[in-house]
Order: sequence, then structure tokens, then C-alpha cells
Amino acid sequence: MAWLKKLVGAVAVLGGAGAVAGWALSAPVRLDAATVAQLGPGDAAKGKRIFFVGGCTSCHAKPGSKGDARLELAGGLELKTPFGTFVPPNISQDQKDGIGAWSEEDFANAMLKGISPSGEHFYPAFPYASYARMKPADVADLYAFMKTLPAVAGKAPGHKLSFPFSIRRGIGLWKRLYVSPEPVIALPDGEPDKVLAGRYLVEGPGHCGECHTPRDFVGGVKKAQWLAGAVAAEGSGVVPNITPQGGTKDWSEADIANYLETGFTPDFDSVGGAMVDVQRNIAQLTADDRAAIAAYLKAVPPHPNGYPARKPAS
Amino acid sequence: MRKLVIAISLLAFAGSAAYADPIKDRQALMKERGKLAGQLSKVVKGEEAFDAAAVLTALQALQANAEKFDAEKLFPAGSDKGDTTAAPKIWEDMSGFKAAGDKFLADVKAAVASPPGDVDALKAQFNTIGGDCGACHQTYRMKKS
Repeated sequence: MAWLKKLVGAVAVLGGAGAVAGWALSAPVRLDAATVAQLGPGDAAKGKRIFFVGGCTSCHAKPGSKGDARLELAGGLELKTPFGTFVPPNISQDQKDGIGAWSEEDFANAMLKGISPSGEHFYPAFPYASYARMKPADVADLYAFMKTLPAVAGKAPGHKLSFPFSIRRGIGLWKRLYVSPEPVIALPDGEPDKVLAGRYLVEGPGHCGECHTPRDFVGGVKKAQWLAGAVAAEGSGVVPNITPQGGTKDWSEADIANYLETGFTPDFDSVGGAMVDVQRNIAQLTADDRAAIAAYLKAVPPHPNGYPARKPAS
Repeated sequence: MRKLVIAISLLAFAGSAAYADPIKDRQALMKERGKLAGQLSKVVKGEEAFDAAAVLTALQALQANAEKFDAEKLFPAGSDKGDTTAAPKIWEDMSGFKAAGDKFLADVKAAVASPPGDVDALKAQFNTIGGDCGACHQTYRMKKS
């Protein structure tokens, strides 16, 4: 039976090595010094634009709040997904319950690396897989703007997730697969600045792909079907295909920009669902920003719908 | 004679059933509403010149449309099935759904009661009314395809 002992030993060694490797590969990786150096002092006025591109309020405002109360970022909304229920936390300036005590570097590590000040992984329901493409200076501006927002006491309840998604450390491996500062769509040389600006807004702070792109079984965005639409990860129904092959294929760039400004489609249907908050946020931007988003959406590769066809009514 | 009466009443019943398709009715009402909003939007965007009388006519038509919106009749129990994008939330929260419809009607009535004298006045009213579209669709409609 010596061979069995050897086999058991080998399995144990391999398993142990695998565990050690897994542990090492899943470790949180903080921002390097060069990136931190690029942060610089933020400009709150410029950060306001980034705040509305990012749509922070859509998830972090108190559920159901209106008007100026949308700027009270107490969290508490429930996002029910196949992985469990995510609850966006309090990111107001409260020192204890919010992020009031965070340094600019802490904030940048959260946005660009998905890491908390104590070194834990955040769940990617917080869309840092998109924010990782942001310019450090924009993150610094956003930090400065958020410093001007009110402190709201009270912690939001924790996430309620099912195994194995309840193990935070595993997110480190997920990040190796899905988080990168590189653009999703490589654009040919000589593409107009407007399209490049739109790519940055859509792929980075705007994080449009998080809902408009289908995901694989571990929740990674399928870049080969970028913006092709998806079964809603949260709530019910589908999120539309916004590539040039989707429902917006007959819309002009002006139509897209107008929709983002007014909430009306070219045939005067109105914005609906989770997009209502998004549209209200994007309406706060400049016409140039909306035109850039529209130009990029016309430049992305066309894809068929990333969700199954609706069954005929029975 | 009795047979004839029964036949006629059966026919009448079948006829009323064929016409009372709440999903089609409510979609037609929404289509018309969108068209009217579209007319006003063209003026707001400056694609068409501001004509006070024409704007008032469109607003009045919008009011007539909104008054026809009877949530209970157009969204009876069971009409969540079929070719519809009505969200289940309508039947879970009928009072909230009705309140959203009432707010739209109230805002349109307010616009008709003080007809806009220029584009800027129309724009302010149109923003309120258009906001009502989104506010209701945010919760009570879902995309299926």
C-alpha cells in the first residue's frame, strides 16, 4: 500500500500548493505609488460632473428619496441578484457609518481596485470593474466633490449572499480575470476625439456595460457581446441592446443625445425602469458629453441581442 | 323567439369580449399620449414655431387622453399576462400606480388652466409632465424585449 500513501501524500502536497497559490493570487493588490502620485488635489467643481456620470445616487441614495435628498448617500437599497442580495453601503461623509474618514488614497483604492481601507475586497456589484478605467485625476475630483456632500448617520444592512459567493477572498481571483484599466473596445487610429471621449465616459465612470452587457456564470461581463443587452441582473425584464444592431439602430446620434437629455425616445416613448435614474443623472452633464456618448455608441461593434427572444404570448 | 334572444345576447357578449381587450386599449391610449407629447416636444426643441393656440389644443388633447386613463378598467387582474410590458408592481401597488396616473392628469390640467404664453413657459410645464412619464415607467413598466 506504499503507492497509496505516496498518492495521498502527492494529493495533499498538490492541494496544499493549490491552496497557497489560490491564497496568494486572491490577495488584494493596492494601487501602486505611481498611480497614487497622479491623484493630486481634487477639484470639487469638476468632480460634480464625474459624480453624475458615475450615477452614484442611483444605488447609494436612500431608496425612494427625491430632489436634494438624493445627495444623502446613506445606502440601503436592495439589489436582488442570482448571487444573493447586495445592499449598497452608506458612502456619505459620516465619519463612522460612511466614508468621511477615508483618505483620498483609500477612496482611489476603492474606485480603481475595489479594495476597502482595511484591505478587503469589495463585491463587484460596486462597478469598479468599470471604474478601473478611470483617470486618477477624475477620481481625485470626485473625492473632492463628495467631501462637499452631507454626512448621514446609520449603517446600511450587510449583503445576504449564497455560498460560495459569500467568501470575499475569492473575489481576488475574479478581479484577475475581469478588472483591467484597458479600454474594452480598441478603436482604430484617427478616431475622432468625440468618440474617444465617449468611450471613456461609457466604459469608465458611466459603467453602462455593467447592465447592458450579458455576464458569464461567475458574473464577469462578456466583452465579446459588449453592450448587446442582457437579462436584467437585478429586478425583472431585460436591459436593451444599445449596439448599432439593437433597438436603437435607427436612432441618429442626435436622437441618442436627446434621449439622454429629455428621457424621450424618437417615437416619444419615455425612459423606464432603472434607466430613469441614469437618464436624470446624464441630463446633468453638458451637451458635449451627451454627444460624445452618442458618437461612441454608434462606433461600437454591432451585436445581436444578448438575451433570449421573448416567448410568444400564449 | 327565446333561441333568438339567447343567440343575440351571446353575440353581444362575444362582441363586447372581443372589444374589451384591456392590453390593446391601454397601449392605444399610451401611443396617442406619446404622439401628443411628441408634438409639444418639437415646439420645446425649437423644431417648430411656438403657436399658442396649437399648443393649447395639444395640451387639451393630452388632458382628454389622461382622463380616459382608468387604471382599474385598463389594468384588470390577469392582464399582466400576454403581449404587455406592464410590470407586476402595478398589481402589487395599485394605489401607488393610480397616484402616478393622477399626478400626470393634475399636471396636464394645470398646464391647460394656465396656457403657456411662450416657449419657456411651455418648456417648464413640459419638463414636469415629461418627468411624470419617466416616474411612472420607472416602477410600473418593464422591458421584455
